[in-house]
Amino acid sequence: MLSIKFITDIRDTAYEVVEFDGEIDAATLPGAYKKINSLLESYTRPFLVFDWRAVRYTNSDGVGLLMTVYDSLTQKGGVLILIGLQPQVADVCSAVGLPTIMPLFKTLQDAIVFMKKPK
Amino acid sequence: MDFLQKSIAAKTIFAAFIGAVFSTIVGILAARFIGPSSLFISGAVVFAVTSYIVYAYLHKPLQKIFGEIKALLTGHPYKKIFTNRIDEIGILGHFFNEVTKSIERVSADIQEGQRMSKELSVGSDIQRKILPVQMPTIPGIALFGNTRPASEVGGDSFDVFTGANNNTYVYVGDVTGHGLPAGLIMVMVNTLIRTLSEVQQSGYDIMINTNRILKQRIEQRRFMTAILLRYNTADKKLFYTGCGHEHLLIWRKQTGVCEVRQTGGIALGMVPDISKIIREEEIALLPGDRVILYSDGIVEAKNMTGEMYGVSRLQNAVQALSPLSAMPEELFTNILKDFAAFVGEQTQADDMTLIVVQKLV
Repeated sequence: MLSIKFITDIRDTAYEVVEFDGEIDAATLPGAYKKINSLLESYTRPFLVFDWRAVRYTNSDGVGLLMTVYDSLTQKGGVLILIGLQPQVADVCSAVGLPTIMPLFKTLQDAIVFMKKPK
Repeated sequence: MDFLQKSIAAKTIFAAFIGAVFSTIVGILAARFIGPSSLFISGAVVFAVTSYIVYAYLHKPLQKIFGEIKALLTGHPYKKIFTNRIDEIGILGHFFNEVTKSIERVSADIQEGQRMSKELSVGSDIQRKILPVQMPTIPGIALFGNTRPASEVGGDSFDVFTGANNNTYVYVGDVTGHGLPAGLIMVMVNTLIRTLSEVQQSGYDIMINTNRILKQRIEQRRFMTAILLRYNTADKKLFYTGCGHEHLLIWRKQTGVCEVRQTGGIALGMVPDISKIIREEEIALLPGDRVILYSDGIVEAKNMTGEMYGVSRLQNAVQALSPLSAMPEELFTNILKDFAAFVGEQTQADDMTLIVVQKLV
């Protein structure tokens, strides 16, 4: 089971948060792609934050989803940020080298500090 | 009059009633105008008319339906039954049509399944021919390995081959998913690595270029973790280049300890340029030391209680079984026995690959 919620902070137009709750695998992937793709079509903010604090499990399917979003955002000059990875999920992401291309943070506050840094 | 349409019994009774009325009228008229002998004639007329009605309404349609049923059962061509009737004969006709429709659907599914199975079998053959049939003899090292796909076509691959400049390469790769799409990517990467090894000098150069070409050709959600060992037979040194793959295990003969080393880097196919993310590093080995490569299908395999085999268990197995195994093939077999004892009868969920490399001199 997987639920996805979009959260917009009207005070800050630099980012939007997408909250995931559940497991990201072959069974839940089609639904996840459908929702995320509809967001990405018209997404123009410089950052997109995936809140994975409630993601209990993922495998290469979840990494594949991240890479699809990463590619899509990168083409528009955007940045995908991951926050709150649980240990099993962090292991999977770390093993394939995701931290080398994607900012990972424990909390949204840490991510906001990163986003506010002058480039 | 709706009940007449839906029931042959009602039709028959109605027809009999009409027939009785008709024959009475004909009989009376015949007796009046022709005479008593006309009773026989009127009876014959009534019989002929009744027989025709029975033939036209009952016998002929039933004969048609049973003819098509017989054709179906004996494997001959049959035709759909066209009818507007909603009585028992109409129901029989519609039932025949529905049955044949279902049979045709199932038959098409079976044929499609057979076609796909044949394609997968061809894919599986192609893949099998790419994998090393037997381990080559390489001066300075001994090795043994194998891969077992979870389906007809797998995403795991390994290869052992000689490249330019006295380099021998051993690589293990694991594409996301399994089945035909993963198998095709596996074949692509295998070909790229082999081809580039003939012109490149190091694992680093091979993997950067493999990644660059692969990224242009695969879907965003697909990638391949890999680790490439390079053994130079001239200077007898072993190097590895990690691309987001599982940890390396290194067993040291002198100490008997098996260490776990992160391979680092990033999986192939994720980003176009990995030149600043991966690197080639040396593994300093003494004679008798061993390096174990594997895919996640081994460490992520679960037993009946849902517990994973795990890197720690594999590390412990290597440490315990290496002193008891004279050569790589023995260690390979002993590790798999330990693995099989752990997972039991559980169905294989992912492709599995295991390679053991031993330094001889």
